[in-house]
Amino acid sequence: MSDPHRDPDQREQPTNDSDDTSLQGQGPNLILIYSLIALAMAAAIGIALMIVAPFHHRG
Amino acid sequence: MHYAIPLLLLVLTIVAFFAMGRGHYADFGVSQVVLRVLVALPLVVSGVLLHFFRMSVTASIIPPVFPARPFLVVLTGVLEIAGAISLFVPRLRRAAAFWIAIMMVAIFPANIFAAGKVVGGLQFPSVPVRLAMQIAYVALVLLAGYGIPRAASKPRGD
Repeated sequence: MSDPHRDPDQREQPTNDSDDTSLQGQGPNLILIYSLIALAMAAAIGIALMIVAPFHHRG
Repeated sequence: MHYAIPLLLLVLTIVAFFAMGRGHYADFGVSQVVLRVLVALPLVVSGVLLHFFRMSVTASIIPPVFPARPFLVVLTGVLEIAGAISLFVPRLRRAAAFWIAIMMVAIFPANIFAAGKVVGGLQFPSVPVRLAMQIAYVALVLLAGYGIPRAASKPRGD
């Protein structure tokens, strides 16, 4: 028996345990978390370049 | 196979760092402390907010072949926080940097698995982009923990 309400073209989506809608709003905002991580990374890269650059130019 | 190449490149990053230094590393003072703070920050943010407050999202990006995914989320969260703290303990600093780098390799399959997917409303970056970020992060952690690699300095011929 097929479900009459189901779109015949609709394929089963791989779940990967990651139901997007159900996972939203259950804690701190992911975008905020990843923005913080990215900001720290960018700052770290900046600091590292400042540190390494003089050694690089020294030859 | 598509898991093997990124993991190999990450391992090579670690090997390259130690090959450059060959046991000789130069501390760089206050900047190194600042760098340690900056590399510890993502670990604390991720360890606390992702691994404990968004546990289901984090568990969902671990490939299903791994057993006990919620346990792995908690374990890696604790290790990330412990690693971040250990970066500021002089006796543990280098060991912490090394094991954080190893952990960044160990957890990378989750980033490969999540690449290009929308998880928790957030689009995860593609493997090449994520790999570049991870390589940069591993290099920064090792730099922050060990200092600048300086293999046997050349004798100055005056």
